[in-house]
Amino acid sequence: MAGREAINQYARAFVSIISKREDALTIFSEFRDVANGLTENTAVVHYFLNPSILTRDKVKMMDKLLIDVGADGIVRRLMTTLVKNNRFNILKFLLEPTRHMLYEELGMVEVKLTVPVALSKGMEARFQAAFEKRTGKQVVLSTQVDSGVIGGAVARIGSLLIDGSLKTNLVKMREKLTGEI
Amino acid sequence: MKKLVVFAFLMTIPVFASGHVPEGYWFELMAKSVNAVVFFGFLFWLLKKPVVNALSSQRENLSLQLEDAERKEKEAAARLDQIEKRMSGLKAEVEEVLKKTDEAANREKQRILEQAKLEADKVRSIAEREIEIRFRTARNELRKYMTDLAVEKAEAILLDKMEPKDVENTMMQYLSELEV
Repeated sequence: MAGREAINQYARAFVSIISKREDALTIFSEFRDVANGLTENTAVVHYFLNPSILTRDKVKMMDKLLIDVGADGIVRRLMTTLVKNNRFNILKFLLEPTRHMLYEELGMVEVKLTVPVALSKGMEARFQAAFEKRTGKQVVLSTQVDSGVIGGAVARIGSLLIDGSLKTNLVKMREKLTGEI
Repeated sequence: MKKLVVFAFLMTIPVFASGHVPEGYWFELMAKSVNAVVFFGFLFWLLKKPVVNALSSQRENLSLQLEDAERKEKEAAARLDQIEKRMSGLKAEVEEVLKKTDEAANREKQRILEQAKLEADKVRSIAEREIEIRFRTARNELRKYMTDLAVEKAEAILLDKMEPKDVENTMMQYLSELEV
């Protein structure tokens, strides 16, 4: 798929540049904020996807916008390159692969933890430590509160799912009971 | 001959009645008598054979007719006998046909009954299987419904009754398992 290949190419190029810098995570955060801000604004999206507007004008507009928000030079270059190459449409799909590649490049791993109630700082630290011990990598922990979990927690590390929620236990119990039929 | 003498006598009666016998009367009477004899003899000679033949023919004819009637009567009797025999045979034949028909009908009836019994057994077997399947399906659905209900109830109770501390304990347990 050309679109996916293009996304991976841009993500790989961007990560290869920012991973050499100490503030790689900060730059990525900035890129994420800029990308979200642009793609969530319908007028901006329509402007940059409008074929009747000259690419040169779009590039100038993008550069101006990013200067106004004080974006880092590498982020500006990535964004203007996308506009110049008529690839603004892949911007919203670029975040996840970029983050994934960056974390991998930096020896980090993202853990998405779903819990029934908000974690205290102490609990969050204990979870982070436990996941770092288990993965052997630096963990970027993102927590999400979902009362539907009822109790326990659910962790997703890449494609690995560690489900210890009461909700899932109830589902398993139901399957076991109906499976005996 | 007797008849002839009587006839001759009768011819003399008018003469005796008049009381006077004319001359030459006896000669004339004799001649007339001879003539009469000759005439009747000739007549007898001439007619005897045809009359006899006619009578004989009539007799033979009557005899033939009688024989024919007798023969026809015998034939009729024979035919009657034959018909009676045939009738009696026909009755037996009819009885035989009726018997055979009755037997065939009984066999057919038996066959139909057996066939019907087989069909009934088949239908009963299918119905039993269907009932068993439906019963099993209904039982499974009921059990699934009860299980779903029980799990939903358990979930509702957990959500309702679990204190924040209980929830934290479940998370701690998860964390403990993670740290092992």
